[in-house]
Amino acid sequence: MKTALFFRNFNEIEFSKLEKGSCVFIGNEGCIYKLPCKDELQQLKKSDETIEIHLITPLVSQTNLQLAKDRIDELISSKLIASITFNDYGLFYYTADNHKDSGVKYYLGRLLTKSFSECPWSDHLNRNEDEHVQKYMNGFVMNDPRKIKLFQDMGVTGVHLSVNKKNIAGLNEISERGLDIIVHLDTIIGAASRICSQAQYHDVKYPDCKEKCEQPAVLKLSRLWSLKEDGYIEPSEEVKQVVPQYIVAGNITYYRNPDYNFLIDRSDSIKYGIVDYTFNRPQFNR
Amino acid sequence: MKVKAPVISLESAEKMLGAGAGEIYLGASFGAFKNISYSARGNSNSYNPQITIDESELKETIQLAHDNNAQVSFLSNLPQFSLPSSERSRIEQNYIDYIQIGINCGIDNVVIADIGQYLLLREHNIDIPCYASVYLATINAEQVRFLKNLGFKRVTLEYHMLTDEIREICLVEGIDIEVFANFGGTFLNGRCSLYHNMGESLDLGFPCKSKYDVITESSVEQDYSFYDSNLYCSLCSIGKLYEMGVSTLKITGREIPIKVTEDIVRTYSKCVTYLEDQMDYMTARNLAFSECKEFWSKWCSKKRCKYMKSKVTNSYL
Repeated sequence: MKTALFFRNFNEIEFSKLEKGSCVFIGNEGCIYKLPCKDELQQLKKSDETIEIHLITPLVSQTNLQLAKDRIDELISSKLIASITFNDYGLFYYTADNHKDSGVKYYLGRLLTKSFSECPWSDHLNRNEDEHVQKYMNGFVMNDPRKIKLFQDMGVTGVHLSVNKKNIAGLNEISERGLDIIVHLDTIIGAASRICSQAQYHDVKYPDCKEKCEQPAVLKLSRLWSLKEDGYIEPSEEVKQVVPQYIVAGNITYYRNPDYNFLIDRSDSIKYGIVDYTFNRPQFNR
Repeated sequence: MKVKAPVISLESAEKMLGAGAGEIYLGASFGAFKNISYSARGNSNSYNPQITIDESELKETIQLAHDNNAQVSFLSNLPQFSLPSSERSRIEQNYIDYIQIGINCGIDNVVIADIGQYLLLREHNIDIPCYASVYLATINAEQVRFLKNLGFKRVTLEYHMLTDEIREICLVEGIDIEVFANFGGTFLNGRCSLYHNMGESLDLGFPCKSKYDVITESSVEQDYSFYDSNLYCSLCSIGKLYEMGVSTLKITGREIPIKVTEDIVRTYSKCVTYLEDQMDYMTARNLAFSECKEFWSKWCSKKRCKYMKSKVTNSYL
């Protein structure tokens, strides 16, 4: 397993602190405005020619589709990037169709490869199901030979996964089918939205939201909105135990992967183990 | 434009069809699960002990819909479809059986949440029209083209769209576009793992409506509805959606009382009928609104309008 750093914002990268030949993933699963541009990547490459640059692209609304396509065209032709990770089928479809044999690897991101076990309370939802159904629910959506073939035929060579003890069997199978496995060691994605809750919270719009977004918010559940009671209630002790503390960066809600150490012990089938730079800053120390 | 209504029983089908639904959608209780179902909900919820239906009720419901010239969409939109290989064939056969029983009962199309499910049906030469569920999180025209080229006949767009975006997406030829009329959470359905209404016995609430202590670098704010961006109604936008060629207006409501859903279906159906009668947008909207004024005033006063400029839509990425 090669360790890679994940930077959501290009501005977060401290060139002087990167080791020679570092591997960096830049971008974001949710926000188009965090896609780096060619000039920024040239700057990074200039600081160290051996640096390995990987791009993470977000879900893309129709409003921002042309912006995303133009950026992809520009970055692929720049020959600066080793891979592109897609979290949107539409942007992937465009790229696969227009940039065959680009020399850039195509990966599917965590928004497209998720597993039911990423739900923090999946054990509760699965509680009465038969064992084989529980296994089924805990697999990744990529545990499907037909789908793997479809995407391999379109040029996909790897997948990003949020891995935990419950879905590890699925990881092994995907790896055996020849896809590179990129695992995010620190975090699991709880939810993604088109609404940027952080921008809304601070009542700012792009580009003013950038500054706020570099400082993720931490959320602790205080009051549940209950459909049954048609209002807010105190969460029960059991609920308090299964609902984690969320970390919100822009429109993506993450939580800490409780199985971090388990993953480190199983690094053989993992090509890249991604460490989240933002959430490892002092204020987010585990 | 058809209004598509949720159905959880034969009785609810009678009410939705009576309220003017041109299409209904439902899930069946047979399948591999106990609490969960292939319909992306649990088999029960807070208001209804059973929201999926058995084979004989399914047959009767479909017959009733067809007698009323309405189509039946069969839900197989559970967000996952995956299994490590050792036991895959067992669950895949269960899924095929689920769809096949639906076909034998007379369903008109299948709503699918995952590309793997679609490929499996085609591998088994099951040639029923397939519609791409909201769980595929479609928010741009390229994804619509991708799904069309795979063979999907209709795509349901995500809850969070703008009318200009829908207009551009409707220009993709050869595939129908469905949009939501009401409700919806803050997160993208297909990209949210904070599941609820999935057969839980704990009251997990709605994570995107719940309150949180919000800790930022500079402040701690207690009991704050951080995610609460739910948009309730699109009645003022129906004229535009109608004009741009949206094929189906989907009403949600399997988790609320049937009477509420029935009123919602009736109002939207009337609005569409008035538009079909060449009425202008606002007259059609106002007339539909006035026929159920007390009910709609409650929603309207909240100013949680779908598809229109607001603090929520301003924060769309």
